[in-house]
Amino acid sequence: MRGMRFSLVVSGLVILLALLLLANYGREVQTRQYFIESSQEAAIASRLSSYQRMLEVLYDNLFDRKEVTAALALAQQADAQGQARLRGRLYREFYSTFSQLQSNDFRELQFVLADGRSFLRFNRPDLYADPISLQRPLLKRVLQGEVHNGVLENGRVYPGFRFAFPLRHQGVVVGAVDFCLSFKAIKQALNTVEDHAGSDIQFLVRKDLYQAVSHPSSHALFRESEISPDFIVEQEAVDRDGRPDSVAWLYERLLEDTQLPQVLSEGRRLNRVFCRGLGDCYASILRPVRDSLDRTSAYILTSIPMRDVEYLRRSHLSAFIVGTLLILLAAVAVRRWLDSNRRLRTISDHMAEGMYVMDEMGKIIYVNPMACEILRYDEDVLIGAEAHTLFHTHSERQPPLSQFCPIRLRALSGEIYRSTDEHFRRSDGVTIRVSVVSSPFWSDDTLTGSVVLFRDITAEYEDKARLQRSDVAFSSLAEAVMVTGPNGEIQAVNRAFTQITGYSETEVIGQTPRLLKSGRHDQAFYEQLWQSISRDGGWEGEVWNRRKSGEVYPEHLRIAAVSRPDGVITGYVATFSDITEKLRQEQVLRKLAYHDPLTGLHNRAAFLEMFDHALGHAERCRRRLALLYLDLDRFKKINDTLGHVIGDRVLETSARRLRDAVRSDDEVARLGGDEFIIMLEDFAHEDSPARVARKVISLLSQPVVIEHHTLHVTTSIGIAIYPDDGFDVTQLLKNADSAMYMAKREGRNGFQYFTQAMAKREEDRFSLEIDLHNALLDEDFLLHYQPKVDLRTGRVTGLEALLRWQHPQRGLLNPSEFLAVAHEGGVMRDITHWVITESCRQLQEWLDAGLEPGRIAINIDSHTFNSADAYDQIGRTVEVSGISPNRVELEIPESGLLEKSFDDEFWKLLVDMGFELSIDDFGIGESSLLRLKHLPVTTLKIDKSFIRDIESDEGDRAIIRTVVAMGQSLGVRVLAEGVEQASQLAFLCQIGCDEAQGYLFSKPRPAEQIAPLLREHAFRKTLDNVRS
Amino acid sequence: MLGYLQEAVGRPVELIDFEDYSDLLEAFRNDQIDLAYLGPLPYALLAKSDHDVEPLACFREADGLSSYTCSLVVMGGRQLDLAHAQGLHIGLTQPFSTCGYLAVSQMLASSGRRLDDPGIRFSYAGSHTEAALGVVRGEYDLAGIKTSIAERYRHLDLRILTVSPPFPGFGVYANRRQLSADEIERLREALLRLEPVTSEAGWEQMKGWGHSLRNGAEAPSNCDYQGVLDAVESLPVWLEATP
Repeated sequence: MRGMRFSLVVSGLVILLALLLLANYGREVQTRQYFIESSQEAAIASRLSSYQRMLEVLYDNLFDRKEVTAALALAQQADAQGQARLRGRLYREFYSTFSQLQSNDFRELQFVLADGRSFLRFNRPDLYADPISLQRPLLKRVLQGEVHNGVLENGRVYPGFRFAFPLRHQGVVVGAVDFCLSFKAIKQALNTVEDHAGSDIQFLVRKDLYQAVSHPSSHALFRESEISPDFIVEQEAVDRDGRPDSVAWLYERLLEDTQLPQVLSEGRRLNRVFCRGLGDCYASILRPVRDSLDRTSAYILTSIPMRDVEYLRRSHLSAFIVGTLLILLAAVAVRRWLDSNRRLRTISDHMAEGMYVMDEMGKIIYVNPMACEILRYDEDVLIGAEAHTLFHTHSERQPPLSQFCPIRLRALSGEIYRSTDEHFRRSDGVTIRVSVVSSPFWSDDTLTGSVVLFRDITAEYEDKARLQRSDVAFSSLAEAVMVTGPNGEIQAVNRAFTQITGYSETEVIGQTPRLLKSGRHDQAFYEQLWQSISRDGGWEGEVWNRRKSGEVYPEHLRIAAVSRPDGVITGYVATFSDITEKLRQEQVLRKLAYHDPLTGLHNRAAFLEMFDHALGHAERCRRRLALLYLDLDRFKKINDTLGHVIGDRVLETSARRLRDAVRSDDEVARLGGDEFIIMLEDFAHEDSPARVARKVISLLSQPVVIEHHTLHVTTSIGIAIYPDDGFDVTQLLKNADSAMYMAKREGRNGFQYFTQAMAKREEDRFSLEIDLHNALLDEDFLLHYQPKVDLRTGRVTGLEALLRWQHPQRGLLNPSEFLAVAHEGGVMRDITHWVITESCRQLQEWLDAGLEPGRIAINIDSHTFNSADAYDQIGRTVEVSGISPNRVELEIPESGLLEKSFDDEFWKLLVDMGFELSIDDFGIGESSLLRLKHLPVTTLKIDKSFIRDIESDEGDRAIIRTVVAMGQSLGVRVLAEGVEQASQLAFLCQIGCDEAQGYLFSKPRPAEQIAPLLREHAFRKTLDNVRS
Repeated sequence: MLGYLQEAVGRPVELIDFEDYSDLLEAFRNDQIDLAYLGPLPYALLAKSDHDVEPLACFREADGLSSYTCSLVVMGGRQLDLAHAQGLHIGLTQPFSTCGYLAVSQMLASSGRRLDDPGIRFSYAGSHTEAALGVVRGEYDLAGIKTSIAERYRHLDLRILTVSPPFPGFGVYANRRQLSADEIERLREALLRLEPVTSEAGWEQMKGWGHSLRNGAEAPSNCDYQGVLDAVESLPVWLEATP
């Protein structure tokens, strides 16, 4: 900071020197500009004066003659022709004079009449008779008899310096002769001025004043000035040939001058010096020229090379360099002196200890900033004060002794005084404990006072006291504490340490913590622990250690590194507690959480955890893993029929057998209910999972005898392999489950490997199941109806309602394409409900329309009539619809009858309500005549497979004849399904079959197509055709 | 004017200044220029040797006429018998000026005189004004100048002695070898379309053009070229060859 300030001072001096030299340079340049201006002014005046003398001679000898004045006097009175003659005469007479004047840089010669009109202009004879004196004040005054010369005025053609003389005839002014000096003459005059060599001079004429007077045809003689659009300059040869580069450059610099527009508008002068390089400087002088009305009507712009400016520059630059060098040399010397003083002061200023110097009278003559900071006094308060009386006390409460101050007197006696028991009182009244060193202060071998160094040790003192208190707390902590040095040597332990480890403090001090090592942790464990400490500054975890008694015990350990502010580790503090009891409780809880209490096998949670672990291992070691998913076949039936106690015993036995079927390393778990899982790791052969599956199937299929019950339990197993069938637990379990279901579908008591086709099927089934749910919501189901025809009358005895599904993507689907999925997906119940409701509604609609559709036949599957609420599903729904059960025929598949006893009350209930029952697909099932006898059926529907080959297969014909005969004997109607040919119908009629149904009469049709069939009695004709 | 023609013809138009007429005529013949702005005499001389020159329009004078006349001027007080005067010094303007050799010859012929008579000598003043003022200054006895210039200096006691038959005004001529018939027609139509007297738009368009161009133009059929073409036949051969 000080260095910067010093540099600023030196820089300031250099800048000051530069400014002084610059100001001097400016004055010198200005002086030269004034000189140029004065020279110009004198040159112009001189030139105008010499022209005036010349014109006076001309005037006296040529113009102020009687012939001329008489001609003007006559012209005043003459008519146009007379004036023309006089004008022509004057032109001819004075043309040679005009030519001579032109060669002397005059550009105009004009005669003006007394009335102020121009009579003859030699340079523009075509312009005449205009009242020029109105615009030329000079002419006006001349016509009044005065003489005016060398004044700037604009004319009809040119602006210029005007000279005019009155012409008198017989004492009366009859006109005037008017001359205009060109700017060229003035330029030449200026060019003769010393130092003007190479200068460029331009006359700038105010455009508005010129154009107010001039004839428009003259405007083309001028162009706009380079430096302002308000001024014009005369077109000259130099405009075509081009000016020197320097002039164009100077004009550009002038244009950049922000003062220029204001200078021009106010008619002021402007002087500027511009330099293109060291030796290439120019003065631009803009000098106003006033006209006869004292207006600034033009400017003379002179651009002059300033050759001596370069000399001025060099001399000033040299002075600046020399001056700067002198300043810098002086600065270096001063800087060195200041530095040496500053170093000493810096040492004391940055001392961490307070320091003051006393003279022999005890007055402070120097004090450092730390002393001020500790004592909280300003420096100016301390300087000159007596330390002993201002802040020195001998103890915290005791005031200082006035006579004796060891700090001062011991030093004055030539000794060094040291104490850590002195007290100083700060300015705020607080007393602090200080350590003091007081030394004699020598100056030129004379003892002139003392130097006192002191330090505030109040906090240090209090820390020591606090440490003593901490020792007590340390010893009483419940947690064991062990303090070590940086190399692990034990420095301190507390009482709890001794209680937990059995080692006393004296036994362990100086030892290392390896004393407690149990041997249960490998080297890598400790390396990781130390890495954590060095990286994070600590470690926390559970370790096994050994007590003095040799017992190994678990402890929760925290190790913290103790570091200095600079990061160097000075030791470690370990705190730990014995967690033997805690671990024991955790183990109990873990066992409860991870085991199935019934079988003792791992439960689902434990299995998933182990499986996850095994998957990771298999992935790392690139090994395969097999999952065998088991489900006991029909276990539910055992539970339902024999009760849960027997069921649990079966599960216990099965679990035991499973355990026996696998290696001890293989994992067996119960996932829940009757589902088990086996995980095989490290299997050697490709078919090992299959072998295990066979073994399991074999073992489980052994009879189980429980309380006099001999039970045969089988199982279905699905196998999924990692990584072939999945990479995670969820996928593998799902796939094994799919394979298990496939095994069940394949007939149970077997196993299936998971395949991708299986996955695809499952996916499709799942998708179809979702669609089924949506179909119910979206009302995508519909019913088609197929008539049943009485073969004697041709009358329609009823209509079979057949379910269709208008699938949004797959089109119209038959039940065979979705019913199985509907069953598995739990949708069948809702579908059945919808079919019954819709068919009843449609029946009612036909009846309301006056039609006679007979009975509505509804197919009821075995799941429905086997369910517990079968009666509600069927009977209640029909009741709610308002249709009489007498109008409804329930078609039951022959295969389904096996699952519900024929004498079940359910059938009787339905018949009592009025429902008619028919057996569908009759002939392909296992119905016995006995059963038929007990079942209250009214119709047997012969399966269409018998009808199809009726012509070619005698066996089929025989069966049909038998069924028809049986029906007749039992009093049951017989209906033939799938009649498509007239010959089939003819046969059926011939053997006395009661009814028929098939494409020969009508295919299943939407409801709206059925009504016409009912009205037309179309089927009588079909029968007649067959009979005939 | 250049911009206007450029728009009409649909391609850039560049102006070339010639120091004298002979160079201009030569450039036209050599197909170095496509259009020429000429007085009647240079046109007649060009048409004599180049059949591909086609008049587009002739410009009107300030008085609205598409023709002008030349005059022989003399100082007002001077009594001159043109048929018999001897030692006459006549001021002419320029060699290719219509009011020069051509018109003066015609006007002298009406008095039975010729420019190459032994009692007559002539000088070129350089311009109409210089020729006129030369008479006032006494340098010439007579001068052949445009009548409008003679009128301008009447206040200097200049008198018109005789006036020539009318000549067509300055005109624009196209080079058929360089311009297509369609382009020529478009240029002609553009020049004739502008009517600065009767149309405000025409005045706006032409007011910035030169003095001799801004008064509108006439179709070639209204410009009497025949007189000047006939008169050229009587000119001495050197006139064409000498600038």
